[in-house]
Amino acid sequence: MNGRLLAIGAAGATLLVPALLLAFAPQVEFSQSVCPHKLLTGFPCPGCGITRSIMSLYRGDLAGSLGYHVFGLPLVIACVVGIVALAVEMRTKRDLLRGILFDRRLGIGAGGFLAGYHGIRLIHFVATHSVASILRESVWQ
Amino acid sequence: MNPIPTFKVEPIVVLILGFITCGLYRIYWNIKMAEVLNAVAEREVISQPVAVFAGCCYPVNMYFDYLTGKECLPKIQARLGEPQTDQTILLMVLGFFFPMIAAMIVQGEVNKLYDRQ
Repeated sequence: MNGRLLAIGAAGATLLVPALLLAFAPQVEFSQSVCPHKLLTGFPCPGCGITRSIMSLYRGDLAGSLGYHVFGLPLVIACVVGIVALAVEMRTKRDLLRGILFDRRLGIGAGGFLAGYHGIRLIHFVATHSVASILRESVWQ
Repeated sequence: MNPIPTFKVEPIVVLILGFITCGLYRIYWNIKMAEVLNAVAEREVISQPVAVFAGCCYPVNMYFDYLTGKECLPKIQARLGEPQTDQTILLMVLGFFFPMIAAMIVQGEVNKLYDRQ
């Protein structure tokens, strides 16, 4: 399969899934997370909250979106820009994104930022949750 | 053939570290694994900035697993002289329900390269 088409599909799904949830199952935003890590441990994984963050963004609630996950907005922007740029690449046969997508320093920088953010979020999570409430967010209770 | 960056970790350690660091280790693992898999494929298949979000966001995770299964694991099997099998669907299904198990399988396949050396 064409790699660009696949990437467009992945970026499109990232944008579409929260939109479909908002349209057909908005209660998901306030229900139990289905993240396997959270279900098993009760603790959030680095990506927990991104779908809810994008759903909040679609509702026009920027503060709520940032509250769920700071990467929601950048991810939406990256997906929109990625879809447009990849479509242009397919049309013109020119590489527009290669320099960004395969930039090692950008990868390490994004990873470091996500890790730092997740570390702070974990400290906040532990400080604001009791053992019982953490267990309630897992499958063990 | 390109030299492969060394990233040998026992698959069970990937699972344990993923859990006890609450997913922080997976961020590091994704970045390192993208580097290894690109070297194995001898071209840039998996973007490191995108790999960071594999494991965070399901569509990105499925994309990462698809590229790994379709483009990279067959190259590892070819280097090892083993018959090439397509594990794409397995990785994508496991990646959806149990991402940590998919990571263990990929790490296990990559480790075979170092065991052979």
